Amino acid sequence: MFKMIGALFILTGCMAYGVLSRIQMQLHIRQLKQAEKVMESLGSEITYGKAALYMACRETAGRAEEPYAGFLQQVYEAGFQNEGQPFADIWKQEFTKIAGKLLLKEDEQELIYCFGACSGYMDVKLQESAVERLCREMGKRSAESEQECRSKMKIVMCLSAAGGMVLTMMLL
Amino acid sequence: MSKAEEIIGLFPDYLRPMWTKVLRKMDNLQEIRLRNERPVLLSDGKHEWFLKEDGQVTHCREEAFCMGNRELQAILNHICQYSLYAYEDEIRQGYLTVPGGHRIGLAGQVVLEGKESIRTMKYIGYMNIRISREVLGAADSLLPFLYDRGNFRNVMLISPPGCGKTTLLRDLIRQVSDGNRYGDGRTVGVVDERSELAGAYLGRAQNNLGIRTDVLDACPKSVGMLLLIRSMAPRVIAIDELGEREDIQALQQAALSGTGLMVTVHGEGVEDIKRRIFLQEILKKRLFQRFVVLKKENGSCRIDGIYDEDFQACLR
Repeated sequence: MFKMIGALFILTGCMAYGVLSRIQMQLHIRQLKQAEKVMESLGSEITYGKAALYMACRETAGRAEEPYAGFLQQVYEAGFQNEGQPFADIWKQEFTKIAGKLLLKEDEQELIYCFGACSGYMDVKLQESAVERLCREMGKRSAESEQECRSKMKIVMCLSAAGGMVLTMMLL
Repeated sequence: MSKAEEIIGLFPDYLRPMWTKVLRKMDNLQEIRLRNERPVLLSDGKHEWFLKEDGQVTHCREEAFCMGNRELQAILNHICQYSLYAYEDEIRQGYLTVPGGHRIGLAGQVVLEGKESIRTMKYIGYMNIRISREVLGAADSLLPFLYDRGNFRNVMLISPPGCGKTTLLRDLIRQVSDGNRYGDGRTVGVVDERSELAGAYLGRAQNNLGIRTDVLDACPKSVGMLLLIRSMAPRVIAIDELGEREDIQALQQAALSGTGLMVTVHGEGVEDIKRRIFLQEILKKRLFQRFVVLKKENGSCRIDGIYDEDFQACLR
């Protein structure tokens, strides 16, 4: 009886691991898509409203999901407090605070982290293209991850189920 | 926030210690002039000082701190919130309005579009920070001449640059709008083409223009006057620095609709104004009942004379 319950626990644990990995992959894609949306929104604020970066952050914060919403709001508030720091420094500083909450890969985080330095252009088209570039990159990464995820998810689920069975048999 | 804090806020963090020292000490500053590789000049309208690197002031040129191109770029970027594109129109016109209603004049290399229109300005190497000061009560002595049994008389303020026309007009707007002992408060429409009267920042007036004042910011005067008449039905319209033929036409239309007028114009005095061809039409039609001439003496601005529609002195 105990052996049966133990086997059930092992199987459930392995399956749960598989499901968790699947959820993490989906969350990763979701965060990439959110980042893409955030950049799209920043871009439209700049293009149509000709809003300054801080104001664009504030407007976008109202439409974005966490953790991006809080991050953008913090960037706006730090700019509004006007301690004299450049936009790039504020952006990096605030992004570092939320980096731990993100499931993005290191190179993906690096892309967002460095965006702050792409500011101070006199020509609105240059600023727009800086935003577009990041937006495109995020879109590309999320499409790639989605494709990768589809094939990976099946393998992960199969492996976790198989792994659970093997482990159970070995222990029995 | 104090004026000093507002001005300190214009500078990036690494320049603040120097400016904090000088601005906390000199609360009567009117202008700060920054020029590439030239000494930083401070002025209170009467005297001029050089700024030293340690935040002290001096009259000795050799001790003066010279601002480099890097610093000027950093200041401009900071003022424009690292979004120069958002301030493109203001830069093109050569000035920026910042929180507190202060104005920053800019000069550099102009990039033309066609023959006459300015596309933008690059290599900005000259900045003039003009510290805005509201002088509440500046128009007190003028008010008795501007009302006739409670009715407002159209007024033209005349002076050379830097004699306080805009300051006087600003207080006049406030007093006419709020009401005063000579007349009830009335709705005033302000067309603030250069954001100098209201000192609007992000659409919000930074100066007190009264409780019945509507401000149309950064709008050409000729377009703005007609727009305000149609949309806000002002009883008095105020505009600063009348200067173009289109402004005169709009002014005449405003007068025809029965709206009162408060305007300023550059000039040395009434004789100078009479000689201006573009102004002759409105003078002939006697649109204005009062002409106020301002002068600067020993660094102080004062009313030099008030004239009626026949150019007879009411006060001199």
